[in-house]
Amino acid sequence: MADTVSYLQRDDTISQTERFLLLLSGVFVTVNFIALEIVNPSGISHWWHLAVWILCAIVGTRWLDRVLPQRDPLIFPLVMFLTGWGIVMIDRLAPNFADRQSIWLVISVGAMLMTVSLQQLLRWLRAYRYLFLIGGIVLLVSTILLGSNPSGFEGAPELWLGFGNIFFQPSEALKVILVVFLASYLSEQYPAMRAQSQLKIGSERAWLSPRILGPIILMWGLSIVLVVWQRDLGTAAIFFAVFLVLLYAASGQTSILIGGSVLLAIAGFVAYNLFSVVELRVDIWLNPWAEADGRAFQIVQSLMAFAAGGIFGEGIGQGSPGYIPVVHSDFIFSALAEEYGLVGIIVLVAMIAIFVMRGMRLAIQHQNRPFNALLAIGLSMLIAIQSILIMGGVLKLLPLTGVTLPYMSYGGSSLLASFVIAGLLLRLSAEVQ
Amino acid sequence: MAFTREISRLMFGLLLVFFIIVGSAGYWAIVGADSILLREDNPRLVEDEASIQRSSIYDADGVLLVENVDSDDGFPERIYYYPETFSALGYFSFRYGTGGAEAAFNDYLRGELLEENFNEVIQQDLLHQPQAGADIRLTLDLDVQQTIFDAMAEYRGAAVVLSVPDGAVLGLVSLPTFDPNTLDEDWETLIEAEGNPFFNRVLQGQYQPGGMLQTPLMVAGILSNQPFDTVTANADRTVEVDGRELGCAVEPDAPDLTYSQAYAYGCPFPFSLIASQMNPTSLQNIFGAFHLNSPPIIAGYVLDNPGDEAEATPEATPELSLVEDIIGQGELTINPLGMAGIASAVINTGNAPQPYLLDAYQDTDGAWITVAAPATNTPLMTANAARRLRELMINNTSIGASVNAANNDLTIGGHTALAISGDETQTWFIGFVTLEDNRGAAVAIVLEDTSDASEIARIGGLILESAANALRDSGN
Repeated sequence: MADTVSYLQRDDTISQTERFLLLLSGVFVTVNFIALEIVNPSGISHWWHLAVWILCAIVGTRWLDRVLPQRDPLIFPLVMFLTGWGIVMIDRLAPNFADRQSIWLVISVGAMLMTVSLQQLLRWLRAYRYLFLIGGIVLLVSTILLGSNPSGFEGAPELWLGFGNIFFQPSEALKVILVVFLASYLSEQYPAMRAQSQLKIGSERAWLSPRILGPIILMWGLSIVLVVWQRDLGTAAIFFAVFLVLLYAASGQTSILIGGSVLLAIAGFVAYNLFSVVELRVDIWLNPWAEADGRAFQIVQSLMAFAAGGIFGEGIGQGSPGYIPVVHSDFIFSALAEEYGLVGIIVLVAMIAIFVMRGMRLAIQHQNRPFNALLAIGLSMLIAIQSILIMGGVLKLLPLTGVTLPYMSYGGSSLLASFVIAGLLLRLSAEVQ
Repeated sequence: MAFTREISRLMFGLLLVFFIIVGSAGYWAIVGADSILLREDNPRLVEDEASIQRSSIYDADGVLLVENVDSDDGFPERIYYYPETFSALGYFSFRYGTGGAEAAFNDYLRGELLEENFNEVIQQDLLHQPQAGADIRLTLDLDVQQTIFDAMAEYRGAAVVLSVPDGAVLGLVSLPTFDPNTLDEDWETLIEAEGNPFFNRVLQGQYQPGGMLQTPLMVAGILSNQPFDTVTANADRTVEVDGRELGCAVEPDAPDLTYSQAYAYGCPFPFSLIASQMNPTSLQNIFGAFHLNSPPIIAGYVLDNPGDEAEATPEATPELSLVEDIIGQGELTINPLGMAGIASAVINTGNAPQPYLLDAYQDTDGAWITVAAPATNTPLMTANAARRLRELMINNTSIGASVNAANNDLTIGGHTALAISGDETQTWFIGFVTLEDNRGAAVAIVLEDTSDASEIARIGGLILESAANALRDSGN
């Protein structure tokens, strides 16, 4: 009886914490919509997007109370905070896309709630990993064969599968599938990998073991396929980086990170010489100023946005981030820098970092369940690496890779995949012993 | 535990990367911000400039001369309403900057000089509302401008009218001019155009003085008690200047003239005879007293002009002698504004007032704040010399080259003379009109490539009449 009371109290605390954080997020998002309305009156449009966000938050937290009474109370408020901020920015930068993003938010929250509602989901994911992998590869091949680009621009990467007016980017789903597969595969292989590495550290035999070399070649090959056939540099980089991290976590060998990085560098060098898209990205990364009005216009304008924002920013709707092409998608981080300043950047990076750290914390809490632990690491790293790639890219720390900022950028597929990741992490948090 | 070490390392590594990202953002936002924002290819600079609500310019009577109006492309369009004011107002262009009064009073027009109040801090610093300029009111009188512009329409030259004793510029026209409404489209043509329309002849023109130096010489004569009734035989003879003949502005009725008559007819020969009585130093002292080498400027005016470096003023005559110096064909060049100053000193007890163009600006509450007229006068001659010269110049409108300037209802004085400049002949007129209570107006006009002294005197008379009307209407 006493245990039951204790659990109920704990459930109440989780729920109250989550609702409090959602309330704070709601206040933030509402204040920003009000500010945007003052600067840029839209009639009903802003309020409709806000209403959708509030509805998703309320339904989400109530649903989670029902199906996951014991969960991480930070994950859902964090993703809603980032998503709300993202919708405000999209509404400000490209109002036509905010309607779609709001619809995708409803779909994504629905997908997240479905994910958390499936009691046996983690067991299924582990058991049917090859089925998921085959499904993922079919998606990839389908995209290579049937892919299109919603923008309709000639020569633009064809990374989407279209069904009428609805477009989906299969690589977003493939990222999650791949992490699930690798977590499942490595959770079975890691004792052997660790035993082998302890016996033959640095030996030729350990490196040549199919247990290590096989997946490396598979993933490296998959990444090359993405670059060669789809010119999807960002997804390829995420695949390979997440894979390396998972392999490192499973094997415990730092040399894997080093070796993988060398392999990545070699692949990058070859790609630089073979593929114009890679050459372009690297050239403008090394020296954007030489072509500030040409090929490097986007990155130069991005840096100008950071400079214009300064410490406190210009204020929502009062900067000029519109000079950055595709600002509402890949460069939303720069727009945020211009209008919220360094303070906004610190808040955003802190929110993403907290989200990732909560995921990694789950991995620690699940150490007696290797699949769960590796899944938590993989999913957290997906969000982390994707965020780092795009944030580093727009800041000229890394070559631009053209990926979205999770939860914030415009992009239905990305939002859906990110919410599924959040759902899986919530599911994992509920299963912490 | 299985993955503790790896997870800890990964967490540490991630935090480090996140920290680097924040550090990099901080670098671009703080340390590197200025260098990148000041790049010429930063479109925000143009946008900031375009967002400034550049204010309007009015004439002395409150007639709207220039204003910004909204245009279809989102950028405000600056409309200049009166062609007669174009040369005085200058231009404003996003592409080519500013010129003329637009440049001189740019800080007012952009709102840079307005004191910030709390409301503006909220509006501009927090809400980023566009910076608004202050409307300005110039001393120019549109009627005077109209008179000058119409009268000089067929000519290339300059005219400036000063109010006396305060020095307010009532009229300022330089021809040829340009249309600031179509500046961006016309720019390439204008900078190559003959006569350089951007060259403000009133302020920048350095002209051969020719017979205009007779005025300082007359003052020197007054000061040294020279008898002006000494007759010079055949005073209407020409003087050779670099192979060309410089003669009287108009042909006198009789060839023998006193100095007063020679001054009235603008005849150079009697004055060339003074060379034998003078040395270069004393001549320099006379001209120096009139500050001919350092003419006045209007506060704020930028005196470099776009386009090529060629002088719009015809070339100075090269061969030099004391005779040529005395007859205004030497090294010395003069400026219309400086000559207007001399004319104004004649009716202001010998003191030339400092010319000014900005009358008032509007503060943030919409009230007009009058800009104090410069209190500085430049003494050019004694009060007695000014009184005597005034009589001589009034006499000039009875006989001689300036008779066309006369007006039965007004007291007008003037002096008309010719100058040779290269292959051209220039015609000069300086004059004044006096009103009650020592008020009046002074004018200087130069017309290029014409020797029609009667015509310039007629123009001078029209301008002075218009100035007198403007002064009476304004109650100045």
